[in-house]
Amino acid sequence: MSLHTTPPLGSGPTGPDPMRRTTAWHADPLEVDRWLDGEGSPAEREARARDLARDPALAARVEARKAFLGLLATGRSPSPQDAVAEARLREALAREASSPAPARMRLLRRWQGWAAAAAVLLVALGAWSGWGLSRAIAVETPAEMAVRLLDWIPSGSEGVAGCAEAGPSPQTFVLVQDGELEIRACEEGTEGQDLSRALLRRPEELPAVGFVAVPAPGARRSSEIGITEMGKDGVVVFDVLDHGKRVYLAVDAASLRQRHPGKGDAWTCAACHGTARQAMDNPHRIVLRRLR
Amino acid sequence: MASQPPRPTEAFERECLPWLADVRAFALALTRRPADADDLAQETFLKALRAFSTFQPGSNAKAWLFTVARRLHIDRHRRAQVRPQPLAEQPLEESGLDPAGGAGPGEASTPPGGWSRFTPEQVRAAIEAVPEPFRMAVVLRDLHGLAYDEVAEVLDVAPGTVMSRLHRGRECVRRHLVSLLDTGR
Repeated sequence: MSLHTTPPLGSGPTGPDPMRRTTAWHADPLEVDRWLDGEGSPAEREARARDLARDPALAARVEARKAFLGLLATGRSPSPQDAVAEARLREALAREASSPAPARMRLLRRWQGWAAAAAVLLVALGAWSGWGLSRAIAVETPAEMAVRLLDWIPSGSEGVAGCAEAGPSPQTFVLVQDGELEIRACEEGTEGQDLSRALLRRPEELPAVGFVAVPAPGARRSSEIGITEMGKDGVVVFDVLDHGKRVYLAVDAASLRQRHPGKGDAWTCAACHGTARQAMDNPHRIVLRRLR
Repeated sequence: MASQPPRPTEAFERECLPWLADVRAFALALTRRPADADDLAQETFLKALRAFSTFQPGSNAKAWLFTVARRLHIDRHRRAQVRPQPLAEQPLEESGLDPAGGAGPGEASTPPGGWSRFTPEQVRAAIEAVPEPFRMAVVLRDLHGLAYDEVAEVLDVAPGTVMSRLHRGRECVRRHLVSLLDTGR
Protein backbone atom coordinates (compact mmCIF):
# COMPACT_ATOMS: atom_id res chain seq x y z
CA MET A 1 0.00 0.00 0.00
CA SER A 2 1.37 3.31 -0.95
CA LEU A 3 1.44 6.37 1.21
CA HIS A 4 -0.32 8.03 -1.67
CA THR A 5 -3.41 6.12 -0.70
CA THR A 6 -2.95 6.24 3.02
CA PRO A 7 -6.10 7.52 4.64
CA PRO A 8 -5.13 10.77 6.16
CA LEU A 9 -5.17 11.22 9.84
CA GLY A 10 -8.51 12.26 11.10
CA SER A 11 -10.37 9.69 9.11
CA GLY A 12 -12.02 7.28 11.45
CA PRO A 13 -15.37 6.76 12.94
CA THR A 14 -16.33 10.25 11.99
CA GLY A 15 -15.32 9.72 8.38
CA PRO A 16 -12.55 11.20 6.32
CA ASP A 17 -11.94 14.87 6.18
CA PRO A 18 -11.62 15.82 2.49
CA MET A 19 -9.51 18.84 3.33
CA ARG A 20 -7.02 16.82 5.28
CA ARG A 21 -6.88 14.22 2.55
CA THR A 22 -5.32 16.78 0.27
CA THR A 23 -3.03 18.35 2.84
CA ALA A 24 -1.84 15.47 5.01
CA TRP A 25 1.91 15.53 5.06
CA HIS A 26 2.26 11.80 4.88
CA ALA A 27 0.38 11.71 1.61
CA ASP A 28 3.33 13.49 0.04
CA PRO A 29 6.33 11.19 -0.36
CA LEU A 30 8.67 14.15 -0.42
CA GLU A 31 7.35 15.25 2.93
CA VAL A 32 7.80 11.78 4.34
CA ASP A 33 11.41 11.85 3.25
CA ARG A 34 11.77 15.29 4.70
CA TRP A 35 10.53 14.02 8.04
CA LEU A 36 12.87 11.07 7.97
CA ASP A 37 15.77 13.31 7.03
CA GLY A 38 15.25 15.35 10.16
CA GLU A 39 14.19 18.46 8.31
CA GLY A 40 11.49 20.86 9.41
CA SER A 41 10.93 23.20 12.29
CA PRO A 42 10.65 21.85 15.82
CA ALA A 43 6.94 22.63 15.91
CA GLU A 44 6.35 20.86 12.62
CA ARG A 45 8.31 17.84 13.69
CA GLU A 46 6.48 17.69 16.96
CA ALA A 47 3.13 17.70 15.17
CA ARG A 48 4.25 14.97 12.79
CA ALA A 49 5.56 12.88 15.63
CA ARG A 50 2.14 13.11 17.22
CA ASP A 51 0.54 11.96 13.95
CA LEU A 52 2.79 8.93 13.86
CA ALA A 53 2.14 8.11 17.48
CA ARG A 54 -1.58 8.11 16.83
CA ASP A 55 -1.45 5.94 13.72
CA PRO A 56 0.54 2.72 14.06
CA ALA A 57 -0.10 1.71 10.46
CA LEU A 58 1.29 4.98 9.22
CA ALA A 59 4.20 4.70 11.59
CA ALA A 60 4.98 1.23 10.24
CA ARG A 61 5.01 2.46 6.67
CA VAL A 62 7.22 5.36 7.56
CA GLU A 63 9.46 2.99 9.43
CA ALA A 64 9.80 0.86 6.31
CA ARG A 65 10.88 3.89 4.39
CA LYS A 66 13.34 4.70 7.13
CA ALA A 67 14.88 1.26 6.81
CA PHE A 68 15.40 1.87 3.12
CA LEU A 69 17.03 5.23 3.72
CA GLY A 70 19.26 3.60 6.29
CA LEU A 71 20.36 1.15 3.65
CA LEU A 72 21.43 3.98 1.38
CA ALA A 73 23.86 5.23 3.97
CA THR A 74 25.74 1.95 3.80
CA GLY A 75 26.87 2.91 0.31
CA ARG A 76 29.43 5.17 1.88
CA SER A 77 32.14 2.80 2.93
CA PRO A 78 35.84 3.46 2.64
CA SER A 79 37.74 1.98 -0.23
CA PRO A 80 41.21 0.49 0.04
CA GLN A 81 42.60 3.35 -2.02
CA ASP A 82 41.39 5.92 0.45
CA ALA A 83 44.36 5.72 2.77
CA VAL A 84 46.90 6.03 -0.03
CA ALA A 85 45.06 8.89 -1.65
CA GLU A 86 44.70 10.65 1.65
CA ALA A 87 48.39 10.34 2.39
CA ARG A 88 49.25 11.87 -0.97
CA LEU A 89 46.78 14.62 -0.43
CA ARG A 90 48.05 15.44 3.02
CA GLU A 91 51.57 15.66 1.68
CA ALA A 92 50.55 18.06 -1.04
CA LEU A 93 48.67 20.17 1.44
CA ALA A 94 51.59 20.26 3.81
CA ARG A 95 53.75 21.63 1.02
CA GLU A 96 51.21 24.26 0.14
CA ALA A 97 50.47 25.21 3.71
CA SER A 98 54.10 25.76 4.51
CA SER A 99 54.56 28.35 1.83
CA PRO A 100 53.96 31.97 2.71
CA ALA A 101 50.51 33.11 1.84
CA PRO A 102 50.20 35.75 -0.87
CA ALA A 103 48.81 38.16 1.64
CA ARG A 104 51.85 37.72 3.78
CA MET A 105 54.09 38.29 0.86
CA ARG A 106 52.24 41.45 0.05
CA LEU A 107 52.61 42.55 3.63
CA LEU A 108 56.28 41.81 3.53
CA ARG A 109 56.74 43.81 0.37
CA ARG A 110 54.75 46.64 1.84
CA TRP A 111 56.84 46.44 4.96
CA GLN A 112 59.98 46.44 2.90
CA GLY A 113 58.89 49.73 1.45
CA TRP A 114 58.36 51.19 4.88
CA ALA A 115 61.62 49.72 6.05
CA ALA A 116 63.40 51.41 3.21
CA ALA A 117 61.84 54.70 4.11
CA ALA A 118 62.70 54.16 7.75
CA ALA A 119 66.25 53.31 6.84
CA VAL A 120 66.61 56.48 4.86
CA LEU A 121 65.29 58.39 7.79
CA LEU A 122 67.65 56.69 10.16
CA VAL A 123 70.54 57.36 7.92
CA ALA A 124 69.59 60.98 7.71
CA LEU A 125 69.12 61.23 11.45
CA GLY A 126 72.33 59.40 12.09
CA ALA A 127 74.29 61.63 9.83
CA TRP A 128 72.64 64.69 11.27
CA SER A 129 73.36 63.67 14.83
CA GLY A 130 76.91 62.74 14.14
CA TRP A 131 76.38 59.03 14.38
CA GLY A 132 78.09 56.86 11.90
CA LEU A 133 76.06 55.50 9.08
CA SER A 134 76.88 51.94 9.77
CA ARG A 135 76.09 52.23 13.44
CA ALA A 136 72.65 53.63 12.80
CA ILE A 137 71.73 50.92 10.37
CA ALA A 138 73.39 48.11 12.19
CA VAL A 139 71.76 48.62 15.54
CA GLU A 140 68.29 49.69 14.61
CA THR A 141 67.00 48.62 11.28
CA PRO A 142 68.31 45.10 11.11
CA ALA A 143 66.78 44.34 14.46
CA GLU A 144 63.42 45.44 13.24
CA MET A 145 63.89 43.42 10.18
CA ALA A 146 64.80 40.35 12.10
CA VAL A 147 61.83 40.65 14.37
CA ARG A 148 59.56 41.06 11.43
CA LEU A 149 60.99 38.11 9.68
CA LEU A 150 60.87 35.99 12.73
CA ASP A 151 57.21 36.66 13.07
CA TRP A 152 56.94 34.03 10.42
CA ILE A 153 58.34 31.43 12.65
CA PRO A 154 55.65 29.41 14.36
CA SER A 155 55.35 29.80 18.04
CA GLY A 156 56.90 26.91 19.83
CA SER A 157 59.85 26.68 17.51
CA GLU A 158 62.94 26.00 19.48
CA GLY A 159 66.44 27.16 19.00
CA VAL A 160 65.66 29.57 16.27
CA ALA A 161 68.57 31.69 15.36
CA GLY A 162 67.63 34.70 13.38
CA CYS A 163 70.28 37.16 12.49
CA ALA A 164 70.56 40.50 10.92
CA GLU A 165 73.69 42.09 9.86
CA ALA A 166 74.59 45.20 8.06
CA GLY A 167 77.38 47.54 7.44
CA PRO A 168 81.07 47.05 7.74
CA SER A 169 82.81 45.58 10.64
CA PRO A 170 82.34 45.50 13.53
CA GLN A 171 79.29 43.66 12.43
CA THR A 172 76.20 43.63 14.45
CA PHE A 173 73.94 40.69 14.55
CA VAL A 174 70.54 40.37 15.91
CA LEU A 175 70.11 36.98 17.35
CA VAL A 176 66.81 35.55 18.26
CA GLN A 177 67.14 32.32 20.01
CA ASP A 178 64.56 30.48 21.99
CA GLY A 179 62.32 33.45 21.85
CA GLU A 180 64.81 35.90 23.28
CA LEU A 181 66.06 38.79 21.33
CA GLU A 182 69.53 40.07 21.80
CA ILE A 183 71.95 42.11 19.85
CA ARG A 184 75.54 41.16 19.63
CA ALA A 185 78.43 42.87 18.11
CA CYS A 186 80.76 40.43 16.53
CA GLU A 187 84.22 40.83 15.33
CA GLU A 188 84.77 39.68 11.86
CA GLY A 189 85.59 36.03 11.77
CA THR A 190 84.02 35.23 15.09
CA GLU A 191 80.49 34.86 13.99
CA GLY A 192 80.51 31.14 14.34
CA GLN A 193 81.59 31.46 17.92
CA ASP A 194 78.93 33.88 18.79
CA LEU A 195 76.17 31.87 17.34
CA SER A 196 76.21 28.35 18.47
CA ARG A 197 73.89 27.14 15.81
CA ALA A 198 74.76 29.27 12.88
CA LEU A 199 77.75 30.24 10.97
CA LEU A 200 77.08 33.59 9.48
CA ARG A 201 78.40 34.98 6.33
CA ARG A 202 78.52 38.50 5.25
CA PRO A 203 76.16 39.43 2.47
CA GLU A 204 78.75 39.52 -0.22
CA GLU A 205 79.69 35.99 0.66
CA LEU A 206 76.28 34.63 0.18
CA PRO A 207 75.96 32.48 -2.87
CA ALA A 208 72.34 33.22 -3.33
CA VAL A 209 70.05 35.98 -2.49
CA GLY A 210 66.46 36.73 -2.89
CA PHE A 211 64.95 33.89 -1.00
CA VAL A 212 63.38 33.62 2.29
CA ALA A 213 63.36 30.43 4.20
CA VAL A 214 60.17 29.64 5.94
CA PRO A 215 59.73 26.83 8.39
CA ALA A 216 57.24 24.18 7.59
CA PRO A 217 54.33 23.54 9.90
CA GLY A 218 55.38 21.57 12.88
CA ALA A 219 59.02 22.40 12.51
CA ARG A 220 60.55 22.10 15.90
CA ARG A 221 64.25 22.13 15.59
CA SER A 222 66.49 24.82 14.33
CA SER A 223 67.77 22.45 11.73
CA GLU A 224 64.33 22.44 10.26
CA ILE A 225 64.08 26.11 9.92
CA GLY A 226 66.34 27.68 7.49
CA ILE A 227 68.19 26.64 4.51
CA THR A 228 70.78 27.52 2.21
CA GLU A 229 73.93 26.53 0.90
CA MET A 230 77.27 28.02 1.21
CA GLY A 231 80.68 27.08 0.74
CA LYS A 232 82.02 24.10 2.42
CA ASP A 233 81.24 24.88 5.94
CA GLY A 234 78.41 26.96 6.06
CA VAL A 235 75.09 28.11 6.32
CA VAL A 236 73.27 30.71 4.86
CA VAL A 237 70.18 31.81 5.55
CA PHE A 238 68.27 34.06 3.66
CA ASP A 239 66.41 36.67 3.20
CA VAL A 240 68.59 39.26 1.76
CA LEU A 241 66.72 42.45 1.51
CA ASP A 242 67.34 45.35 -0.72
CA HIS A 243 68.68 48.71 0.22
CA GLY A 244 71.92 47.36 1.51
CA LYS A 245 70.43 45.82 4.61
CA ARG A 246 70.35 42.14 4.98
CA VAL A 247 68.54 39.86 7.27
CA TYR A 248 69.11 36.23 7.73
CA LEU A 249 67.61 33.28 9.34
CA ALA A 250 70.33 30.92 10.26
CA VAL A 251 70.49 27.27 10.97
CA ASP A 252 73.10 24.73 11.66
CA ALA A 253 75.00 23.36 8.78
CA ALA A 254 73.88 19.81 9.28
CA SER A 255 70.61 20.33 7.54
CA LEU A 256 71.95 21.92 4.46
CA ARG A 257 72.04 20.88 0.94
CA GLN A 258 73.66 21.52 -2.33
CA ARG A 259 72.82 23.65 -5.18
CA HIS A 260 72.40 21.83 -8.40
CA PRO A 261 74.42 23.42 -11.17
CA GLY A 262 72.45 24.01 -14.27
CA LYS A 263 69.16 23.56 -12.58
CA GLY A 264 68.37 27.13 -11.92
CA ASP A 265 67.18 27.61 -8.44
CA ALA A 266 66.92 24.01 -7.57
CA TRP A 267 68.21 22.90 -4.25
CA THR A 268 68.34 19.66 -2.51
CA CYS A 269 67.54 19.42 1.13
CA ALA A 270 69.86 17.04 2.88
CA ALA A 271 67.40 16.54 5.66
CA CYS A 272 64.53 15.92 3.35
CA HIS A 273 63.77 14.11 0.22
CA GLY A 274 63.73 15.25 -3.31
CA THR A 275 64.69 18.36 -5.09
CA ALA A 276 62.72 21.49 -5.26
CA ARG A 277 63.19 24.36 -7.52
CA GLN A 278 62.43 27.99 -7.62
CA ALA A 279 59.56 28.74 -5.38
CA MET A 280 60.39 25.53 -4.27
CA ASP A 281 58.87 23.34 -1.87
CA ASN A 282 60.88 21.21 0.28
CA PRO A 283 58.78 18.14 0.54
CA HIS A 284 58.91 17.99 4.23
CA ARG A 285 60.52 20.72 6.15
CA ILE A 286 61.68 23.72 4.30
CA VAL A 287 60.22 26.01 1.78
CA LEU A 288 61.98 28.60 -0.23
CA ARG A 289 60.26 31.43 -1.89
CA ARG A 290 61.73 33.87 -4.24
CA LEU A 291 61.10 37.36 -3.02
CA ARG A 292 61.72 39.17 -6.23
CA MET B 1 59.41 39.82 20.72
CA ALA B 2 56.00 40.38 19.29
CA SER B 3 53.47 37.64 19.93
CA GLN B 4 52.94 35.28 17.05
CA PRO B 5 49.75 35.78 15.11
CA PRO B 6 47.78 32.59 14.58
CA ARG B 7 48.75 30.85 11.41
CA PRO B 8 45.84 30.59 9.00
CA THR B 9 46.76 27.03 8.22
CA GLU B 10 46.02 25.98 11.76
CA ALA B 11 42.38 26.93 11.44
CA PHE B 12 42.28 25.38 8.02
CA GLU B 13 43.69 22.14 9.29
CA ARG B 14 41.24 22.09 12.14
CA GLU B 15 38.17 22.89 10.05
CA CYS B 16 38.87 21.25 6.74
CA LEU B 17 41.29 18.38 6.99
CA PRO B 18 38.89 16.14 8.90
CA TRP B 19 36.79 16.10 5.74
CA LEU B 20 39.54 14.92 3.49
CA ALA B 21 38.09 11.46 2.97
CA ASP B 22 34.64 12.88 2.40
CA VAL B 23 35.86 15.34 -0.17
CA ARG B 24 37.68 12.62 -2.00
CA ALA B 25 34.59 10.45 -1.96
CA PHE B 26 32.52 13.32 -3.27
CA ALA B 27 35.12 14.01 -5.94
CA LEU B 28 34.86 10.38 -6.94
CA ALA B 29 31.11 10.75 -7.22
CA LEU B 30 31.63 13.77 -9.46
CA THR B 31 34.33 12.37 -11.69
CA ARG B 32 33.62 8.65 -11.42
CA ARG B 33 37.33 7.99 -11.96
CA PRO B 34 39.69 7.51 -9.02
CA ALA B 35 42.63 9.28 -10.61
CA ASP B 36 40.52 12.27 -11.54
CA ALA B 37 38.96 12.22 -8.11
CA ASP B 38 42.35 12.42 -6.44
CA ASP B 39 43.31 15.35 -8.60
CA LEU B 40 40.06 17.10 -7.95
CA ALA B 41 40.24 16.50 -4.21
CA GLN B 42 43.76 17.87 -4.09
CA GLU B 43 42.85 20.87 -6.15
CA THR B 44 39.84 21.43 -3.94
CA PHE B 45 41.89 21.59 -0.79
CA LEU B 46 44.55 23.76 -2.29
CA LYS B 47 41.98 26.19 -3.54
CA ALA B 48 40.16 26.08 -0.22
CA LEU B 49 43.40 26.80 1.59
CA ARG B 50 44.04 29.84 -0.54
CA ALA B 51 40.47 31.01 -0.14
CA PHE B 52 40.12 30.11 3.49
CA SER B 53 39.68 33.74 4.48
CA THR B 54 36.27 33.58 2.81
CA PHE B 55 35.16 30.68 4.93
CA GLN B 56 32.54 31.64 7.46
CA PRO B 57 33.58 30.33 10.87
CA GLY B 58 30.91 28.17 12.36
CA SER B 59 29.43 27.16 9.05
CA ASN B 60 29.68 23.67 7.66
CA ALA B 61 33.19 23.25 6.33
CA LYS B 62 32.29 20.02 4.58
CA ALA B 63 29.53 21.69 2.59
CA TRP B 64 31.87 24.54 1.78
CA LEU B 65 34.53 22.13 0.53
CA PHE B 66 31.97 20.27 -1.53
CA THR B 67 30.88 23.51 -3.10
CA VAL B 68 34.47 24.28 -4.02
CA ALA B 69 34.88 20.79 -5.45
CA ARG B 70 31.76 20.98 -7.54
CA ARG B 71 32.69 24.36 -8.99
CA LEU B 72 36.16 23.15 -9.80
CA HIS B 73 34.68 20.13 -11.46
CA ILE B 74 32.48 22.32 -13.64
CA ASP B 75 35.41 24.59 -14.44
CA ARG B 76 37.45 21.60 -15.51
CA HIS B 77 34.76 20.54 -17.90
CA ARG B 78 34.62 24.01 -19.33
CA ARG B 79 38.35 24.21 -19.75
CA ALA B 80 38.44 20.83 -21.41
CA GLN B 81 35.49 21.86 -23.53
CA VAL B 82 33.84 18.69 -22.49
CA ARG B 83 30.19 19.02 -21.98
CA PRO B 84 29.41 18.13 -18.40
CA GLN B 85 26.54 15.97 -17.60
CA PRO B 86 23.42 18.04 -17.78
CA LEU B 87 22.47 19.70 -14.57
CA ALA B 88 19.00 20.52 -15.68
CA GLU B 89 16.23 18.23 -14.72
CA GLN B 90 16.34 15.26 -16.97
CA PRO B 91 13.05 13.47 -17.34
CA LEU B 92 13.47 10.19 -15.60
CA GLU B 93 11.02 8.68 -17.98
CA GLU B 94 13.69 9.04 -20.65
CA SER B 95 16.24 7.36 -18.49
CA GLY B 96 14.07 4.36 -17.97
CA LEU B 97 14.31 4.92 -14.26
CA ASP B 98 11.16 6.83 -13.72
CA PRO B 99 10.08 6.13 -10.19
CA ALA B 100 6.59 7.34 -10.92
CA GLY B 101 5.81 4.04 -12.49
CA GLY B 102 4.19 2.80 -9.39
CA ALA B 103 6.64 3.14 -6.59
CA GLY B 104 5.52 5.53 -3.98
CA PRO B 105 7.22 5.70 -0.68
CA GLY B 106 4.69 3.35 0.81
CA GLU B 107 5.94 0.79 -1.60
CA ALA B 108 9.31 1.37 -0.30
CA SER B 109 7.83 -1.69 0.56
CA THR B 110 10.31 -3.83 2.17
CA PRO B 111 11.43 -6.56 -0.21
CA PRO B 112 11.38 -10.16 0.87
CA GLY B 113 14.21 -10.62 3.29
CA GLY B 114 14.32 -6.94 4.10
CA TRP B 115 16.65 -4.22 2.96
CA SER B 116 19.49 -5.63 4.94
CA ARG B 117 19.96 -8.34 2.34
CA PHE B 118 21.67 -5.84 0.06
CA THR B 119 25.37 -5.31 0.34
CA PRO B 120 27.08 -1.92 0.41
CA GLU B 121 28.55 -2.74 -3.01
CA GLN B 122 25.08 -3.27 -4.41
CA VAL B 123 23.91 -0.04 -2.87
CA ARG B 124 26.89 1.80 -4.30
CA ALA B 125 26.24 0.35 -7.74
CA ALA B 126 22.59 1.30 -7.53
CA ILE B 127 23.50 4.88 -6.62
CA GLU B 128 26.00 4.96 -9.45
CA ALA B 129 23.22 4.04 -11.83
CA VAL B 130 21.08 7.01 -10.87
CA PRO B 131 21.15 9.63 -13.60
CA GLU B 132 22.32 13.14 -12.94
CA PRO B 133 21.36 15.37 -11.30
CA PHE B 134 19.41 13.11 -8.98
CA ARG B 135 22.48 11.12 -8.08
CA MET B 136 24.27 14.12 -6.63
CA ALA B 137 21.39 14.84 -4.28
CA VAL B 138 21.46 11.25 -3.05
CA VAL B 139 25.23 11.30 -2.65
CA LEU B 140 25.25 14.53 -0.69
CA ARG B 141 22.33 13.69 1.56
CA ASP B 142 22.50 9.95 2.04
CA LEU B 143 26.20 9.31 1.77
CA HIS B 144 27.50 12.50 3.29
CA GLY B 145 24.69 13.54 5.59
CA LEU B 146 24.30 17.09 4.39
CA ALA B 147 21.12 18.92 5.34
CA TYR B 148 18.77 19.99 2.57
CA ASP B 149 19.88 23.58 2.63
CA GLU B 150 23.50 22.49 2.47
CA VAL B 151 22.79 20.24 -0.48
CA ALA B 152 21.02 23.18 -2.10
CA GLU B 153 24.07 25.34 -1.51
CA VAL B 154 26.46 22.81 -2.98
CA LEU B 155 24.32 22.15 -6.02
CA ASP B 156 23.29 25.77 -6.35
CA VAL B 157 19.60 24.96 -6.51
CA ALA B 158 16.54 25.76 -4.43
CA PRO B 159 15.79 23.59 -1.38
CA GLY B 160 12.55 22.47 -3.02
CA THR B 161 14.54 21.19 -5.96
CA VAL B 162 16.71 19.25 -3.57
CA MET B 163 13.66 17.52 -2.11
CA SER B 164 12.44 16.58 -5.54
CA ARG B 165 15.78 15.37 -6.83
CA LEU B 166 16.50 13.49 -3.68
CA HIS B 167 13.24 11.65 -3.67
CA ARG B 168 13.44 10.74 -7.31
CA GLY B 169 17.01 9.66 -6.98
CA ARG B 170 16.15 7.46 -4.04
CA GLU B 171 13.36 5.87 -5.96
CA CYS B 172 15.78 5.07 -8.74
CA VAL B 173 18.01 3.34 -6.24
CA ARG B 174 15.10 1.46 -4.74
CA ARG B 175 13.91 0.22 -8.10
CA HIS B 176 17.39 -0.76 -9.10
CA LEU B 177 17.80 -2.83 -5.96
CA VAL B 178 14.44 -4.46 -6.31
CA SER B 179 15.29 -5.32 -9.88
CA LEU B 180 18.26 -7.26 -8.58
CA LEU B 181 15.84 -9.52 -6.80
CA ASP B 182 13.80 -9.96 -9.93
CA THR B 183 16.83 -10.97 -11.93
CA GLY B 184 18.11 -13.16 -9.16
CA ARG B 185 21.43 -11.36 -8.87
